[in-house]
Amino acid sequence: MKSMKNIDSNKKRSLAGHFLYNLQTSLRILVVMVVVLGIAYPVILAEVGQVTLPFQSGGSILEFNGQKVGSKLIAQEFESAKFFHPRPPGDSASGVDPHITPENAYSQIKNISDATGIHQNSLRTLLNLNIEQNKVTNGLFFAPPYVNVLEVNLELVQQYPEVYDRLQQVEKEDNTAALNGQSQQQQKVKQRGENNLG
Amino acid sequence: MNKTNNNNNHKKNNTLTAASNSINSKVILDSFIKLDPRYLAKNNPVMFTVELGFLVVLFVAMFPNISDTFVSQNQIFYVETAIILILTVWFATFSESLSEAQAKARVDSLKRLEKEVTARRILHGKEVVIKSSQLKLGDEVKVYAGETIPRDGLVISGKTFIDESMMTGESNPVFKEKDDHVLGGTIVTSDSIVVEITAEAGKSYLDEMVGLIQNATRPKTQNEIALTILLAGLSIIFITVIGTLLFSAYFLGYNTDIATLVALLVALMPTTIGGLLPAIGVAGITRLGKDNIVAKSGKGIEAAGDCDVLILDKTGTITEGSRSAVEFIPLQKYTEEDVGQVAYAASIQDNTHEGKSIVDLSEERKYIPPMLEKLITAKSIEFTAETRVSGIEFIPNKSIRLDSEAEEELRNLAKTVTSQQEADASTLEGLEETVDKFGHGKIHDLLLEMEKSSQSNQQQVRILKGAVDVMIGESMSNSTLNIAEIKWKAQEVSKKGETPLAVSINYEIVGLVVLKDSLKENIREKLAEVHATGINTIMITGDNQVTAQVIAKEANVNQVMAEAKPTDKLQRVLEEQQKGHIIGMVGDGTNDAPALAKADIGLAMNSGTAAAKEAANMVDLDSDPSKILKVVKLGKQLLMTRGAITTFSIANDAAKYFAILPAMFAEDNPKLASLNIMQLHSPETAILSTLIFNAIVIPALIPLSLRGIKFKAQELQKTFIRNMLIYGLGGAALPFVAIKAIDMLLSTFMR
Amino acid sequence: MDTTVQLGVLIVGTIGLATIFGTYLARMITFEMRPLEKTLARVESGFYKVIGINATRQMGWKEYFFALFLTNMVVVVFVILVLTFQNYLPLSEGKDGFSFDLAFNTAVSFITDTNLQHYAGDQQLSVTSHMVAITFTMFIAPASGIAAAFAFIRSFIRKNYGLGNFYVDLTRIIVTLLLPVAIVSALVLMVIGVPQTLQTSVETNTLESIINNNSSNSQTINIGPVASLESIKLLGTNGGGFFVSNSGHPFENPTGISNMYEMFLMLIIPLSLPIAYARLMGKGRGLAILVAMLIGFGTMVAISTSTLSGPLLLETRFGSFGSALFDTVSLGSNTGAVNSALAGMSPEAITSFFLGMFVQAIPGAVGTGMMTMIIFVLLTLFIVGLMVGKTPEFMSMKIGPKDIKLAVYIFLLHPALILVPTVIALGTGNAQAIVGDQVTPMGYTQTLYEYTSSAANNGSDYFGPSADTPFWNYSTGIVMFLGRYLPLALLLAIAGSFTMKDRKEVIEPIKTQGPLFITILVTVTFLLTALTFFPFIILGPFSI
Repeated sequence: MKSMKNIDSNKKRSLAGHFLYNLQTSLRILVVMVVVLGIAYPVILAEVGQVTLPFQSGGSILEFNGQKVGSKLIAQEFESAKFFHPRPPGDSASGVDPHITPENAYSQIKNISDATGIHQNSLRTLLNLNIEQNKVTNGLFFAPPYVNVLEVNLELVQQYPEVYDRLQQVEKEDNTAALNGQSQQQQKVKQRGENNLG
Repeated sequence: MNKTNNNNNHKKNNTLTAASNSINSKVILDSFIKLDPRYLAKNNPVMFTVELGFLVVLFVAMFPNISDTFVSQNQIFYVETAIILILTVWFATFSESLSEAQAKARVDSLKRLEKEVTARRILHGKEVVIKSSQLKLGDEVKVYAGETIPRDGLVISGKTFIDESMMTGESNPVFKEKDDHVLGGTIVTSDSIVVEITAEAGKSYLDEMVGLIQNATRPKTQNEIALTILLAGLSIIFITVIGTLLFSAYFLGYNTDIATLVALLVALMPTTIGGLLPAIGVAGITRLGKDNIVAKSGKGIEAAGDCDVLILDKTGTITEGSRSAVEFIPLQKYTEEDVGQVAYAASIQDNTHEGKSIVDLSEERKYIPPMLEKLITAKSIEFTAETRVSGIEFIPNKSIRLDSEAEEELRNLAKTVTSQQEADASTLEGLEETVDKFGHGKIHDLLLEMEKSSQSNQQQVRILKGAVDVMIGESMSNSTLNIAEIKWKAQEVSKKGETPLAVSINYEIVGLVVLKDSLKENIREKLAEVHATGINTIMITGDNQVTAQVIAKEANVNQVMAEAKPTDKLQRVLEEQQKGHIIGMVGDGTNDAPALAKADIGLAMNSGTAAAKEAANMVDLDSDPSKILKVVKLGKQLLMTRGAITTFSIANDAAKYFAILPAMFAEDNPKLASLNIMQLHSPETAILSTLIFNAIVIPALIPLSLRGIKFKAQELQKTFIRNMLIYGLGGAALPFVAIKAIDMLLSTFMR
Repeated sequence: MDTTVQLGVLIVGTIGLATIFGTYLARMITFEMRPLEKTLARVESGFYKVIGINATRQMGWKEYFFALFLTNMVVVVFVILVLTFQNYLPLSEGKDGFSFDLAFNTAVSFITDTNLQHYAGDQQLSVTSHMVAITFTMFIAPASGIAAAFAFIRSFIRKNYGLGNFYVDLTRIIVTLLLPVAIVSALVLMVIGVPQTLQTSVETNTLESIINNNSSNSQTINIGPVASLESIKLLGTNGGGFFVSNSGHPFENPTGISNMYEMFLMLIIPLSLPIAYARLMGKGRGLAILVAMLIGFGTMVAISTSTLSGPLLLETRFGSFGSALFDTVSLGSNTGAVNSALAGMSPEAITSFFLGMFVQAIPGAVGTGMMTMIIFVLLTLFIVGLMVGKTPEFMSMKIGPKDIKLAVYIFLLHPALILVPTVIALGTGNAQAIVGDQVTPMGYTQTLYEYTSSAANNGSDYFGPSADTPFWNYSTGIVMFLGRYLPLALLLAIAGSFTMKDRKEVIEPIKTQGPLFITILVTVTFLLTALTFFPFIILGPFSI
């Protein structure tokens, strides 16, 4: 401060003095603004987010059976023929979006029905519910209709636990145990689904 | 108005045909000299670039085998292209040479006048023949009919008609008498005059004018500089575009022909305005010169275009400047005839225009006082700044002897009141009686009575006229004076925009003479035009508020500055400039000089003082103040022409892309064929027809740039829309049509 | 239906918001009372005190520019240091330091409001770098641009007096404009689903792995302080994404609502400035600039949506229209954050994007967009204005040779900075190294786009991290640098020239308002741009 005042009082500042004055101010701006904009701003927002919006701030991570099952917003690989499949990674801009067009989803219905034995109409209804749900999320007009593959597959697993008990061949006892455990969950998921629709 | 124009045109055509042969060859020679790349590089960067393009194409035409990648057309095409390119440059230099030749022709004709003549200097009453160059300031010279006036001066005696056509273009000889200005180089056509030289050697008006015209041709105005920068900028952009296009196409594996690229560059560059810009500037000054206005620089003309306030002197600009008597108004006790007779008597020795007009009016109405022989020989009371009255003073019953001159005058006067035969036949005494008996009224009787009264009573009679207030003051001793009546009647006169003068006999005010200053012909229409273009007019006058307002209304002036002193002019100019206005004004007196110098456009009258001419940036040789309106119009025209051709030039470019781009690349990239919306015959004809169009636009627009685009007195907005449609929209559309037409023509030859 | 609603909401919403913000900006420019003035002033003076700014000191154009330039250069040095040595800084998470050329490119890119990215943000930048190098710079760059626009507008109001104080303007713009809006917007985006955390990644299982009890088959989801970056990225028309796919990434732009909100953010300040201008210089004049911008922008939308883009390389949740609209907003406002891969866009859309970057003023980046439009106004007035027979005037001030010279430089610089480097990149084989030995119209388009985006300080590109070579880093870095500071210097020089001019209440020969002028302004702007760049559009996107 003191040196700056000295410079300022000297009206006909030399070029070098001029430069120094401005450099000093610029450096101070750098320090102050890095603290405010580079540190305080994102850190405080992150803290606020953690408290008020933990789900979104953390990346919209869904849970299944008490385990993180991936982000609602990020695609994951599905190998089994019993699941809906996202677009191949290279096909979209981000390569990680879990969304497919309704047409794409409908075209997968037959294969999934064949692999799981679930009735095609049920699958179609499931897709339509997801499409409707997404429409609401997008304020009706702000996005074309689409299907969130992860959400639909989660829904499938939760609605048809017996079908998705094991994706590969496993021992029978394990299968029954799992079925018992999951039937309770199924009801929970159904409730959630209704809530979402509401 | 029309008649003068016709006359002028006629005369100009004659001069043009007479001199055309020598001028033409000179212009052509000069236009070739201007092809020198060094000249172009300095003066016309756009054309310099075109010439470089020409050299490149010429080189390729001579050595078509130097490159396979960048040379792909046949040799004839390169030769054709080269020819069109150099023609483009030549058209530009030709237009410049032509306009300069016009300016030069004027200078030359003036210079011819300047040749040495002999002068008859009057020294101690004798004529001594000397060379005109030896004349000094204040010398008196006698000039006879048929001789040339050796230098600028003032007539001190004699009357003559002078042929000034070589200076002003006015074909009718001009009448000059004592106190008139005459110009060196003009010719006396009748009688003889004595002239006092008022200019030093080499400083005569002619000399100045030659110098001015020569100087006026060069220094660039602000707008011209800005426009040149813009054009240079556009040129650099197009050079960048074409240069990078060459390589871009090369890397894409397309055939890129260097001549085609040069053609595209030339087509895109603002060659039209670039070629015509110098001509437009010079033409402005030449056109001003044709109106007999000498501009000291192009700047003044351009400022004239920007002018939005004109300060106009009432006298000389809006009105004829000479007041004439139109009416006599008697006081209650008297008749109109009484006033007429007194006014006649008071003005009989007054040689001013006003005085003469009073006499004329009285004669016209036959209000002739008696005792003319005494009035003619009466003692004249001259108008002085102190007394501010004029008139005569005489003793009615004093016998006089008339000399032959006075007798002649009397005889002439008598003719106007009596029939001619009577006046010729009668003796002098008879004449007097004839005149006397024609009069009636109180004054008539009063005067005759005075003459007849006793010899010993040598009573003085004073007959006066003057401004009403002064006359009232003069007549205060008279107890019967009805001041209220006089003032009332005078005010009524003022209200109509006219000037009252009071006349009195022996301090008895008889009535008023009404003087009226008539408006200049067409002044209303001229000012209406000026207003339409958004210019405000302010009238400056010494008249009182009432009179000034009336005249302003009659003449269609926006604002009035009444009861103005000469110094108020400068004050007003500064005030208006403070508000951001661009001021035009006219002046001729020395006291106008400061205001003329401060005004953005100062037009001095040639008849004005040297100081005024020095201060102004333009001088009108015809000394017609209303010419300022012409100057403003011309300034606007100059700017408009530049703007129009610039807009036209840039608008042209769109079509050229559509002609040349498909021609360049359609072979390698079939997608581009869809750009060939004009369906041009072949790549070759497409390029050639574009270049030909580009070239011939220049000579096609030479007449427009020399003449200036049509000026219509209307709102700026309307002018703008009109020019935008013609030169903007038209400029965009025309090349599509023209290139297609040229292409069709070419394709018939090429098959 | 969807498209109409989206377009309608976008236009009505942004103009509505711009009206409010424009009034606020006008008050900032002339230091008038704002809402909560007392509080704001107290905060500002706190900053002045801490930084040591003499708030009453006025600067001429040279000093103003010098202060702007120096402040920016200090930031460049700082950012280069942070990026080069990020591995030594906290929260580096094992991320390597940048090479010098990449650090240089990135630093210049962000300080010039370009945000060209030759790196993959979520993979190569540490959280610390994202915050102190990227997010911080994303405030300084637009604040500098807006400050310059403030000074520029002041030049038409004040005579023979300074253009303001750069440090004061910068501080005020950051503290009382950008930061509050950025905080609110970050919160809005967080609600919609944009993450905001100091973690760099989340390890999760996949559905199949949980069912199979196969914990090895898990996924790593990159994450970080995205929302705080995202909001200022768009509000300041910066455009540099947290992720490589930028606003196409579901974390940056999760839904159609966020898509619309982000478009608002990009347009709000560019459209507010003409409104501020209207408040200060006359309603008609500001409106003319705004309408001209909107006509240009509308043209871009019309061109880019004339043909369907995708579906490949587009995000399903945005579709062809949502992608084209977002990208058009982004390119028009010179933000550069796209929500689709450029390669997935139709040639028409790419042409439209080029148009936005060539004009730089429909509506253009914060600050510079409006100034550039005023330069077009000057050029238009000069070219066609002479036709009424008077010296062209702007704001009742005569346009002199000096102004034209400066305007022509600005106008000349842009094609030179785009075209010459493009040819150099092709000539040296550096372009071919990315687009393939055989240069196709597509390859040419990509090369041209890289420099167009750099020169226009836009930042979108085809190449991304594949252009992380010294040649591309340095060449685009230099182009971005020149494309930012030369025009800014010239614009401020014009401002300096105008402060010296006499201005009085005299009628302008051509009114710079009303439908007629807007028509001619748009025509001249389009014509000048087309004449300069037409052949390259033809060789590039037109021939794809």
